[in-house]
Amino acid sequence: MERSPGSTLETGIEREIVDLYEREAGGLLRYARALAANPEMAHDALQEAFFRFFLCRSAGQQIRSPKGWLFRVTRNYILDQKKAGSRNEVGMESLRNVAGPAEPTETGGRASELLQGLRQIGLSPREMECVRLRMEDLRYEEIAGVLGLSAGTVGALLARAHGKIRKAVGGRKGRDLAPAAAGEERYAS
Amino acid sequence: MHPRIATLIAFCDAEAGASRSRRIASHLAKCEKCRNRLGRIERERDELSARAAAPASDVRPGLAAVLAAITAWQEGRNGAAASELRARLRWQMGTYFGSPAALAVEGPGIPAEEMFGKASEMLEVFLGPEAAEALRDDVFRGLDWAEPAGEICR
Repeated sequence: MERSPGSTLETGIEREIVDLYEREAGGLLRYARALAANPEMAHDALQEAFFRFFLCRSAGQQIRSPKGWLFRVTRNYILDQKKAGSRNEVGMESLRNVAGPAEPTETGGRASELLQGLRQIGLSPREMECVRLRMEDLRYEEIAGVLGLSAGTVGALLARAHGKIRKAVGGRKGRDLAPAAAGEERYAS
Repeated sequence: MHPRIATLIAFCDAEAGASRSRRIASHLAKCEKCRNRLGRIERERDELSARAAAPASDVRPGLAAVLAAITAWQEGRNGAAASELRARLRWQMGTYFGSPAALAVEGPGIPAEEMFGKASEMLEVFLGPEAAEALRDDVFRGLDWAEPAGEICR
């Protein structure tokens, strides 16, 4: 985040937020629902992210990639809420790499089912998150920013995920994801 | 030599960069095997995106809630959150830079968002953008932006 030169930023921030909301809220909510323990948490995360965006912009900060920023704040908010909710039951260490709900949530709909499917295929939490964020059209650099990785690592994780998906699709003969062509060759990543 | 699968995925996502993309495109023009691999990557991406796309018809009320929270903030109707934000910023400044810095950032009558902006700037300059981002998350964590009835104080 960089600083803006003047204090004229106040003008138009609300318009900026409305435009951004109309453009990104759908994808953000899908992502939030797939991660959150319940739909209320997903909606709270969405509102929290946009309100924090407002505060940061009101404070004169320039946000280079608003979309990536919103996804990052949404994700961190949900992970915080989940940690807070289960602090008494589970040790912090075991939650460090939590990427999604243990079970698919009813309201998460297709996104959660998809994540569950990817988990069954054997994708790691990070691979799943990369796939999920890529599906929301985030650039690699934005995904890296959300997950605290390098863009190169994002590319490597996506390639590894692709390999696992191909393997699973090959085993299920076209029941899942893109059907494999007959006699398809597999490539190592 | 065939491009690696990660390279083809990056190409498919328009993430390979101009010069590498030109090399890959030129390779694809003469390599059917790689064209097929790219086709599979594209189909997989399209299918995953289609499966993930859920209707987002329920986002509208969220926008109204965000705008209401913004209005309440601008009108000073959620003073408890503003006070808590100030207290946290004061603590952060005191912890990382000492009490004089905390006093310098919090001028008399300064709005909470302005104090936040000053504190953010200091954190970025002295601790770097990533640490500043993490500390910003900390300062917001658990704050309740909902407007309490009848409170006007900022």
